[in-house]
Amino acid sequence: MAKESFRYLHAGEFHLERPLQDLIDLPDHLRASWCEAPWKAAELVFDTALLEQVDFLLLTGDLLQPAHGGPAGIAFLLEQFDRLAEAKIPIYWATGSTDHIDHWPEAIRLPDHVTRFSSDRSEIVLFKRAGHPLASLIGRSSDGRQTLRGGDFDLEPGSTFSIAVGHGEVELEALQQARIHHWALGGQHQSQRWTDASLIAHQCGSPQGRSFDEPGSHGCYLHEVDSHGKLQSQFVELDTVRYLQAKLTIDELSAIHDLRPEIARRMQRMIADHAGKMLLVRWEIELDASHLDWTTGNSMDELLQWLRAEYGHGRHPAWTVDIHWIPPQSLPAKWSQEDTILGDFLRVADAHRKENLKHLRWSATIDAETPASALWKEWLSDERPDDRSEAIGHAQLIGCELLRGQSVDLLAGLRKLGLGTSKNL
Amino acid sequence: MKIRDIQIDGFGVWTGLTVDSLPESMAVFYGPNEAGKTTLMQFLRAMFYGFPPERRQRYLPPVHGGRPGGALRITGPGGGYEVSRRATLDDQSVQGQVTVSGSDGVTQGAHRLGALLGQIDESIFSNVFAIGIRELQELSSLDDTAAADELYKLSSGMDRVSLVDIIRQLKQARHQIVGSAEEPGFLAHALQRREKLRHEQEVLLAKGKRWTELAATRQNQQEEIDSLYERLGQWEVELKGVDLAISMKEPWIERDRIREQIAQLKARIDLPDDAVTKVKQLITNQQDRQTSIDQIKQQRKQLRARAASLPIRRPVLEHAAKIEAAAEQSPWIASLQKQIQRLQADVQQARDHLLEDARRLGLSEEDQQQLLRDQRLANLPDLSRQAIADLAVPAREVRIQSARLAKAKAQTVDDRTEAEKLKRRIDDFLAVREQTDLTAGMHQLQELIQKLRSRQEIDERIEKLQKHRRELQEEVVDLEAEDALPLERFFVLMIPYAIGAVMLLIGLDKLLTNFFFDHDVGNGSLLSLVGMVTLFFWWTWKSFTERGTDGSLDDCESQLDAVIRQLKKSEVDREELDRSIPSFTGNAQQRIKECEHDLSLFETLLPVQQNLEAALQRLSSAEQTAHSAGVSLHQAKTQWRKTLHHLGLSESLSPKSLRLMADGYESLVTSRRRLKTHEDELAQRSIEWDAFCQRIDSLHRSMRADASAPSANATSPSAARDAKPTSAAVAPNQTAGSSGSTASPNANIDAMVAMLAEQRSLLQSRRQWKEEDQTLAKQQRAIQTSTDKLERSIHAMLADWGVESVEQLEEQQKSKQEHLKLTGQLQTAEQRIRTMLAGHVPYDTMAQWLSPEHRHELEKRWESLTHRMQQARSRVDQLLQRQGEVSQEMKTLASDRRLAEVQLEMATLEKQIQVGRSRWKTLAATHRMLEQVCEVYETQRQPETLREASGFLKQLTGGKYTRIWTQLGKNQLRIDNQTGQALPLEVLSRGTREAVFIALRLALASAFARRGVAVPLVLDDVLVNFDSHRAQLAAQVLKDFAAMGHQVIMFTCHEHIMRMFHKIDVQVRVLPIQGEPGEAKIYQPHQPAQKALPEAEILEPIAERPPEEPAFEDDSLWFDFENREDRWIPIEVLEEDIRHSRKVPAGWHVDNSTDAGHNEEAGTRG
Repeated sequence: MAKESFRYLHAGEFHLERPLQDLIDLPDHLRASWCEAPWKAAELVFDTALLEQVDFLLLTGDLLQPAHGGPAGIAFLLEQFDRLAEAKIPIYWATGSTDHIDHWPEAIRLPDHVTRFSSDRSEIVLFKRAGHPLASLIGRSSDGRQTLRGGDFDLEPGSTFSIAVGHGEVELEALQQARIHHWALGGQHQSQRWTDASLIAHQCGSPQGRSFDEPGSHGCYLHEVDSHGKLQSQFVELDTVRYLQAKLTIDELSAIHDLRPEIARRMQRMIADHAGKMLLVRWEIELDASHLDWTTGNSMDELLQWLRAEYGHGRHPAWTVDIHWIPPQSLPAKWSQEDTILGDFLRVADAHRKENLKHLRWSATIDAETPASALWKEWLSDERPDDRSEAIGHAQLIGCELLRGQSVDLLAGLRKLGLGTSKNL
Repeated sequence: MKIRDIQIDGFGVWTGLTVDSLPESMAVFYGPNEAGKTTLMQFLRAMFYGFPPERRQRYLPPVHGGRPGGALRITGPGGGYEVSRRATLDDQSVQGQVTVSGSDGVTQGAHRLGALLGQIDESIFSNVFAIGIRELQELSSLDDTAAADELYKLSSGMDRVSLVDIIRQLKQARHQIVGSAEEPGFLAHALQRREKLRHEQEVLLAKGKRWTELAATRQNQQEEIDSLYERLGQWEVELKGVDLAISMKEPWIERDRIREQIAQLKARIDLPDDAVTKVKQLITNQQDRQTSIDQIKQQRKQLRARAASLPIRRPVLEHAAKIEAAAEQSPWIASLQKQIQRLQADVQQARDHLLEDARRLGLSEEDQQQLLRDQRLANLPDLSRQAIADLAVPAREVRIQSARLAKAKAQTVDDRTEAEKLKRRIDDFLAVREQTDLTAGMHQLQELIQKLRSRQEIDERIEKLQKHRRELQEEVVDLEAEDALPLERFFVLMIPYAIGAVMLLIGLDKLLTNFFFDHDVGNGSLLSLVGMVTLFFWWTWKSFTERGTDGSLDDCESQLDAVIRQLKKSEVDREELDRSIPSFTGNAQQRIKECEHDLSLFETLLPVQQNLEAALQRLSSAEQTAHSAGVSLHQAKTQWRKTLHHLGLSESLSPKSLRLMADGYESLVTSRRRLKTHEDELAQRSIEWDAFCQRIDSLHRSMRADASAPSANATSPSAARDAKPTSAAVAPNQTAGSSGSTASPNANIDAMVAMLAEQRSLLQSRRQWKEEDQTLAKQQRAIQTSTDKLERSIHAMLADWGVESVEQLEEQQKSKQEHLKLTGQLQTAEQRIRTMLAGHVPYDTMAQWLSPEHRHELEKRWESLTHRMQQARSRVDQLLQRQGEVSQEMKTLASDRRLAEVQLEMATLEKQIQVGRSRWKTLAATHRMLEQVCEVYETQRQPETLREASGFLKQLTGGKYTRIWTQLGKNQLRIDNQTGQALPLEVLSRGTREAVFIALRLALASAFARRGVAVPLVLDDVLVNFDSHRAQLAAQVLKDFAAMGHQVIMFTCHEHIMRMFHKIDVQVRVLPIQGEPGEAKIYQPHQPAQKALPEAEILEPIAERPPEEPAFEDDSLWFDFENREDRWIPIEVLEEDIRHSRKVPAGWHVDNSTDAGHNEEAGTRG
């Protein structure tokens, strides 16, 4: 086992070719920041490596897809590699599916201090300090398979600390059988760690979240192995923009009468919890029958504009991307029992809801209302169960509000995108 | 629900306004402008639906003070209610304080009010049950198409909102999302934008390819530069080498000369210095070893001679395995001898035991000997197990049947004893009661009891009939007494007679004779009429009274006759019954009790009778069983005897004696079987013994024959000497062999073992001498081999050195000394050359350059190298310049972040398209579901609404327009005129459109009423735009509509309209002055008094109304308004229906008192 301590940084999933997702509009004052966020987070990985004076850097794949990253992507990586070369910090890189070796232009040669593992077989590299071996690295780039096989990383026990570097989904039981001290893995965008007596593994995640499916903090892992071979890991937050989902449930709403103060309180708490980060917030508000008037008129757009005006500016803005109303699961029974148009509608809607709109065909509507574009028809007729379920809930809510005589903005959510105006995106 | 009273405590301009006793049909509120009609309408809405902010802001607090709110008294399902709703200024809730009090005083909440309103909210109330001038004005302000559209909405689903409106809104919203070919929508714009971004992205990605190409170019340039640098380095080294080669030319030539001399000498430099000495030493060693070989050959010859003289016999050795096997069987032989002796003793013992068993069975000597020889006896019966088993079955059957017979006999005796005992008991009981049969006695008693009870019932009936007869007789007496007219009733009856007669006489006198009074036709006619009526009344009363008394008397007398007939019939029945009953003393009740006692005694003996019958049945069964058991026993004994005979036994043998015989037979058979077993085993062992003895004897004889044969080795004198002891050893065996048949096998075996041991000893000696000979042969071969090797070495050394003899070898030694001297000189020259090279140029390269064929090219090569180096340096400079340009371009491309921006915009755009698509789907789903609702409405409700509206329109237009209908699939209404021509709404006049509007609204309200929503219809001056004729028709339509059960409240500020309604007997209320408590009183026009109407006309004003409108066309699809049977209903029937169907409590007043009062007042005023 190692007699000297050493430290290394573990990062991956830069996805420099992939911009931030789930954004509905781009305010001018945030456009540049959002555009630069993935690049900035990736650059911070190398800054951290220099700042922490690590012994080596582990990159676990999916840094960028050269064909879609443009000239800036490869140039950026080579520039960062050169920075570490100046500091004599070696880089060990197990490529993933996006940055597969075959995608890398042949004309561009990697610097000598960058070791890119083969995708055909596992390769073993000995990391030495002053000629003295400290760590054995066994790495393999992705060969296209989804799952990482523990058998590919078997290493004879030796006196050095063993580190496996790979990319892909993991099966913990398979990893536990291999004789590896530390698994440095890539392949998923959310960081994750497994530490128990039989296994120490880390999924570093992406340094920058890209969508609301990747909420919360992102960054990389800083690992330090002491002279007794004991590993200590620290997660370093590097993201500049952070996705957050906020939800107000029916139970929470039942105790309040006004939405704005409650949302403001939540926003302030989120800003405090994620200080120093630009936040992208999506609100989900569960409705019950007593709060339906919140959705009428322009109240939703007004609430969204208020939130953006209130919290969407400054050095670290909390930008509300969208407010999503979750329709109530059930409306008052007396409404559907009414011998009125509303009652008739709710009974029809309930029948369709039970069948999840299976028998509601809108092909005739598509044919009648859309211009002759096969693409549009394909889009509009593309039905997924989730879409149908969401559509029936909102359709029931809209129909109910209209038939109750409420003022409903049928184009809510689209007006801010320039619907009905000549506003450019 | 209908409003009966209104009480406004404070609301807007009204304070303390009361409206009492509103009719359930229609009422008109009249007041000029600013009189507070709208406030009153809003008050009604406030009572129904509370105080929303806009209403609260406009009407609260009250202008003239008072507590905000008020109360209504209404009737509805379940009776009457008082609804009060109060508002407080500090409580901004819409509901306020609502209480609904029922007729039973129970206070209920707002939910009861909701139920009374049919659960419709204010929006439905406004759209359906409130028709205002404002809506008519809006209708008139629309263009033709829009107005037609508005009217269509009323027929195609309207309550809170119009279904058509909503569907249109949804369609328009979707259109804004997807747009059309002419007018692109949101999605179209988004797609265009996306296409632009995609194009830009492709351009930017192409820059990435350019960057990669530049990188490849730079890489190639770098590789070329590196290559040129490498080659320049190589050329510099080569140039230095060429310089060195030129300077090393002379030493190199000198060295080549020395090498040539050495080559010519051809000396053997590998020849060692001591080669001659070594060869001579090897020749000496070879001679010494040849001497040793001769000595070893002599020793081997002596050993072979000794071995050939030994007396060895091979046949003896060949039998060695058999002899050893026989020796190993010695213990078994001893054991076999012992077994034979033991078996002989056992055979003897078994013989003795068998003879003893035979003697015990009494067998003769001859039979005993036959038994010993295992022969079956002729006279011995077969008493084997099989025979005994054959006998066991009949023996067991005899035993079972014997036991069964004994048991049946015992049962017969017991049952007979019990039956006799029971029979005696029953006979004793019957003898006392002089009966012969228990059941017949019981039957007689039951019949007697039944007759006694019937007689008792007849007595009671006779007694009742006698009592009833007495009562009827008394009543007849009373009625006969009433038939005579009492005095007081006579005087009472004479009063109207006298008055009537007097009035008739006075009237006739005034009318005709003028005898006592003046001529007055009016009063005379009246008095005459009244007098006649009074006289008619007197006659009717008198007839009724007399007819009542006579009827009662006749009834009583007929009843009395019937009772007497029944009484006589009952007495006849009693006498007949008495004749069938034996005479008895005392009353019938006592006799019934005695009979019942006797019956109970009979019933106690019933179980005894049943036991007797059971005992007799058991006795019969036991006798049958005994008989069958006796038969079975006889059969079993017959079978036993047959079996004995079959087995050869005496038929008189009993089972016991047979069992004793069977036991002795078994013992004899067992002894014989044991003897047989011992004899068989002894014979087997004897056979084994004889066989073994023969085999040993045969082997021993064979051995002796082999030993007596002469040995092959004993031919020589020495062999004969060695064989002597062996012959001596065999001799005793030969003696023993002569008597071999008598010698024991063990002795023969011992002799054979000794002979075998001797032969083995001789063989061991010969084997030892042979090994010594082989050792000596091996030594001889080794020495011979080394000798040959030494000779070959000498020849090989000479051959290696290239000489044939030692002399030639000495000459070669001298040439070698010369060669070594030249080699020293060559090394010196080589050292000098290498010192000059000093690692600058590889030796081989230098050797190549200085080879004789290349030495002259060195100068030319130097010049060529110098030229190439100049060219390479020039190329490197060019490449470096080009590389700088490529790097700059790459840097420019890499610094462009536009691609990231485009990708971000595209991702955002995709999300926007997704949002738009999702919204479109949501709206489309809403639309489709609403269309389903609309289809249901159009197929189920719209036709009915249009039929009803057609009826109203026909009335409103005086038959000019007869039908409202809609074409299938077209959202338009069409109107048929009286000629059957279908007109679109657009071509109709404004007044006709308003008539259509009112007709549709009335049909809509009627449709709600059919669904159970009965809410007052509130109209605000809706007739103001009609001409007088159409206004009258409309007023009549509204009144008829109210008469169908809908309460209609209309507000108007026009006096002519008010009068119009008043003229058709609709109650009109005039609003009082604002600001002080007051009552909206019934309108009383100041008209000259009219004559009183006849009473009958006052009571039933509606029933006398003749049908005014012609019937509709004979179309079954149309609503036949005139032919409805329930249109004109007598008011009494209505009252009764209301009382019974709605369960109005007695304290509540639901009659049309106000209407009646109004009419009475009108009549009175007239």
